[in-house]
Amino acid sequence: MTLMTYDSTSDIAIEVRGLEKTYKTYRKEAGFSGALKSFFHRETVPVQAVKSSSFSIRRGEFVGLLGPNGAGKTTMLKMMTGLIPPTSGTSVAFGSFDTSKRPRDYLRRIGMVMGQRNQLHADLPAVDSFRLSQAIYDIPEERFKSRLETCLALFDIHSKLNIPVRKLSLGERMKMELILAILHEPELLFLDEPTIGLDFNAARQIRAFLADANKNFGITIILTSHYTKDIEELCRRVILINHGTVVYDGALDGLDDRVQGERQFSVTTADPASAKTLLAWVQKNPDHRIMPENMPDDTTVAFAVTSKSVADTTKQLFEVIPPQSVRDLTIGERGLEEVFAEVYRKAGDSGGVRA
Amino acid sequence: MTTDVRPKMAIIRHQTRRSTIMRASVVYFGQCLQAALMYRSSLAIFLAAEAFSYAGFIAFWYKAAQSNPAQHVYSPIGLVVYFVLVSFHHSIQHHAASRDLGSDIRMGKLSYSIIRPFPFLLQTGLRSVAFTFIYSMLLSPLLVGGFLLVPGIWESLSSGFTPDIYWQYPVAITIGLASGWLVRMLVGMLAFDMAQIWGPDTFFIALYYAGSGAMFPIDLLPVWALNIAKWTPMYYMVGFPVLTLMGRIPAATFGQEAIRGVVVTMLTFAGMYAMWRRGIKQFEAIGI
Ligand SMILES: Nc1ncnc2c1ncn2[C@@H]1O[C@H](COP(=O)(O)OP(=O)(O)O)[C@@H](O)[C@H]1O
Ligand SMILES: [Mg+2]
Repeated sequence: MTLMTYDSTSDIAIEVRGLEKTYKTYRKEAGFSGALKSFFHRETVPVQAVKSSSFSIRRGEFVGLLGPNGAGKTTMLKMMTGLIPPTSGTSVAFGSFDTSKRPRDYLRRIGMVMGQRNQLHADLPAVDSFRLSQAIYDIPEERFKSRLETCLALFDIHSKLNIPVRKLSLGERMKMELILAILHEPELLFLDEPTIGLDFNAARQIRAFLADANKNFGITIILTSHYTKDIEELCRRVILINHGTVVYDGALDGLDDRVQGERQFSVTTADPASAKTLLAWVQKNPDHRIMPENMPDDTTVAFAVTSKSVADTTKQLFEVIPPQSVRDLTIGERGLEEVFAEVYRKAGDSGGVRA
Repeated sequence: MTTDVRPKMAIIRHQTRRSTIMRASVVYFGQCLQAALMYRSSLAIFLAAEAFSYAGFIAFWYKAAQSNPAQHVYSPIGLVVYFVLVSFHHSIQHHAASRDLGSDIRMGKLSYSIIRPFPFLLQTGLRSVAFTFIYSMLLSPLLVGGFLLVPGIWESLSSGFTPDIYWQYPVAITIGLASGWLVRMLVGMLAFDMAQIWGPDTFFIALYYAGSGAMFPIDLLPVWALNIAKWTPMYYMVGFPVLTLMGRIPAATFGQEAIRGVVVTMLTFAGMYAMWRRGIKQFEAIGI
């Protein structure tokens, strides 16, 4: 494929089709004897980090790639930026660029922040890295100044501009990294765990900064995180990834309706007999879903119902067993973490869900 | 639902122009100089170490030549001149370049660099030039001072001077720095294939000591060995510019040697570039 010229009319920021990545790694058994063995012979093991994945992201979207550690999020980002070539499949940006070829006109339009890696020159103050970026991306002086000023003000971090980067705290450094990544006004920004290891306040500031970048500068943002807070606050759309495959792709609200709309009942009864009666009733009704927390002992029954039927369920529950048999009752909203866990589990059963 | 927000910043010129890369190179070069200057204590210790090791060398060779002058091609003072010049040329070759490149590849700097519209090889090249520049700026006064203060060495050096040296030396040092940088890049590129490159780097250093003239006057090698050395980049890193400065390369053969140096440099470049293309194609970046 030789797509090279920029198509400004394309609605699509980036589109991936059948993207796959298999890494080569080595296996080494634990301990010194393992090391000795691998000194003479290395067993190559392929790791399939991303399995055939397809999605497309439109301009102006703020998309969260979410998944547990090792799910393949970073690998997907790396292929989308052109950092590593895919084993198979395509990644095309702005309807114009084959990202694996790293066309320069594409690179000018993107920015990337990896929460674990430094782009800033560690021995020089951040302002020097900003100036270099200005030169590389040919940013006019006036525009550079006003843009930098806006960013510094958003983070209230003027005083750290002239301090060598390696003397900054993690949060301060991350803020500078983010400023560096958007100074050249990228149209597409990739963020890999930008809030990792940050305290509550710094993470909140960064979220505000990103929301602003998306809203006021129109930057398309693709963010990976395993913190649901980031995703909840920022992303209108989530792509859930587990074991290298897309298990859900759609609005966060859509995910809510299906799973988050449920309420979980946990009932602790005074005696095992009541628990048995209750469980029999729960199992009889198809609208009740037994939860993994069910029956850790003889007396706790856990099940979920849709939020609409909470009142009815509560009433019926006390008809099945008398109030004095109930020692404890909680009705809880299910957190996003649990929702995701549920989706991952379901995807494991059925091989994927799509909204 | 998603909303389509058109990018509001078409003002930035989204095409790379040659002048942009030039300007970025100048800025980057300036920053490398600044960074090098920030390592001032390391620089000072580096210079002291180089001076110390070469002082020992010079004393040893001087004594050896004095003890049996008849057997030596070099006069005792000629050896002093040789090693004073060698110490300078040895020190300005950026010897950390392979390991720097190795750690860039392994530790993630390459990852960021290859997704910026600023060529990574240009960047590492500029960094090496900056180091060389700083070293020569700091070493030159020492060199000049040595030549002016130690009796006899200036006379010995200048007796071999011909007007040709004024164009020959710039040619020789350019070939020397280019081939030196390229061969170190070539070694550094091995980081695409192995976790640590100090093994190959040490191997390279062994070849460097054998074939560059950094340890002994290179033209004392038997003719066959010298001819082999002249087909490696090592010879051009130190021996070639130093012999040129001392007027020990006859004007008639200089052109031939320079051409051979250019060929060796180009071959080294070709090898390095092939390894780069191959490496970057199968680059898996780093986990995390
Ligand atoms: N450079 C690499 N070489 C070999 N295996 C890798 C490399 N990077 C990642 N992996 C493997 O690929 C899988 C996905 O990793 P990654 O994309 O980093 O996941 P995530 O970012 O979702 O935590 C993991 O099993 C990891 O061990
Ligand atoms: Mg990751």
